[in-house]
Amino acid sequence: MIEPTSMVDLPDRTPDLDRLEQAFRSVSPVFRNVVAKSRAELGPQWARILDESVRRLFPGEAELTAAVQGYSRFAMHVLRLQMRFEKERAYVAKSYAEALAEVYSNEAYMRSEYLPGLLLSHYLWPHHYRQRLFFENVFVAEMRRAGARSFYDVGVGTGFYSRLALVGIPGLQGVGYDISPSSKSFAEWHARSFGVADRFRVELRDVVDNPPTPTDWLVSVEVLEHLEDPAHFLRGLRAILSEGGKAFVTTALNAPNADHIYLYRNAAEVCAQLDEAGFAVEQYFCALAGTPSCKGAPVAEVAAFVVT
Amino acid sequence: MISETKLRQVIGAVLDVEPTGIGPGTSTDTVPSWDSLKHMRLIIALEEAFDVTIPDDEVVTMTSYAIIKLVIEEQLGKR
Repeated sequence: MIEPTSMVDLPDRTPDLDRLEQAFRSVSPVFRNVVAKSRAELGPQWARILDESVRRLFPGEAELTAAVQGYSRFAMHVLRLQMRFEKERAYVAKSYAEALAEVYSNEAYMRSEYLPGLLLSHYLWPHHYRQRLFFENVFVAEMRRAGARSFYDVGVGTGFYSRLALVGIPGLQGVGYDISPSSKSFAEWHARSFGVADRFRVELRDVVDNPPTPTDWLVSVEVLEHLEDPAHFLRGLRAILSEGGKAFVTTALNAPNADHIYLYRNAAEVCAQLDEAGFAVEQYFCALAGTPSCKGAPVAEVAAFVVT
Repeated sequence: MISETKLRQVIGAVLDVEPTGIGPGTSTDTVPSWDSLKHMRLIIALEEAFDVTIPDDEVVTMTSYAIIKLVIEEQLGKR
C-alpha cells in the first residue's frame, strides 16, 4: 500500500534546520550544540519556524556557511563584551559618531557579520525568540483585529520584524526607515526571500530630523540602546504616531554590543522615558538571556512595550 | 616558544580537563564540554595568562590545541 504524502512527510522533519546544524558543526564547532539546545528548550514550533527561514534565506550551502560564520563571530564578540560588562558594569564608552563609522557605515562588517549575526540571533537566542512571539501574538494580532493597512518600522535593521508583520497580515504595506545602506539592502533582500517585497520599501532617513507623515502603526525594535539620547528619539517617534495609534518599541537591557551606547539597567528606566515622551504603556514583556554566571551578575535582557 | 606546560594548565583549568591529558590531539572533537561559553572564557584566560590580545577573527578558529598554540605564538611574536 502506498502511503499518502501527508503521512510520509512527517511534520517534525526539518531538513533545512538539519543543514544549519551541520553547518555549525563543520564551520564553528564551539556552537555545534546551539541548534539541539534551542530545539530542546523552545520546542517543535521553533524548529519548524527556523527550518522554513533557513530554506527561504539560505537555500545554498555557500550562503548558509557565510551566515554561520557571521553569526559565530558576532556571538563570540557579544560574549566577550558580556564578560567584560559583568566586571565593569558599564558599556565600552562609544559615541554615536564612532558607532556609525565602525558599524553602520562599515559595509563589509555589516554584510558579513553584524546583519547575519543579528538575524540568526532572533532564532538562536531564547530571549530574542520569545520577544518575537510576543510581537506576533500581541501586536500583529492587534493589527490584524483592527484591520491595519500600513505601518512604519523605524531602525529596520535586518527587516525581521517588518517581515513578520507583512507575512502575518496579507495586504499590509510597510515602510522601513534606517540610516544604514547595508540595512536597507539586507532588509529588502529579507522581504524578497519571504515573498513580501511588493508590499515593503525601505528609505534611508533619520525620522527624528526628517519626519514622515504620522502613521497608525509603528514598530521600532532595539534602536534606543544604540543612541546617546534615546529620550529625544522617543519624542521624535511619538511625533510620527497618530493620535490613537499604537507602537511596538523594544530595547536591550544590560546587553553590550559593538554599537550599544546607552545602558538601560531595568525596564522601569525605559518606562519612564516612554512616559516622558508622551506614550502610555499598554503591555510590556521582558525576557532574560539566561541565568547569572555568578550570584549578582547582570544578565542581558530584552524589554518590549506596546504603547499608545 | 611558549611554555606548553602553562598552556596546558590554562586550557585544562577552563575546560575542566586534566592538563596531562591535553596535547596536539586535543580539540572540540575530543572535549565534549568545549562550548561557546567555555571557549570565550578560554580566550580571556589565555589573554590574561600570556598577556596578549587575540583578534576577533582568530577567536572562532582556535578550536584545537595546535591552533591555540600557533595563535598565541603569533601574538607573542608581534610584541
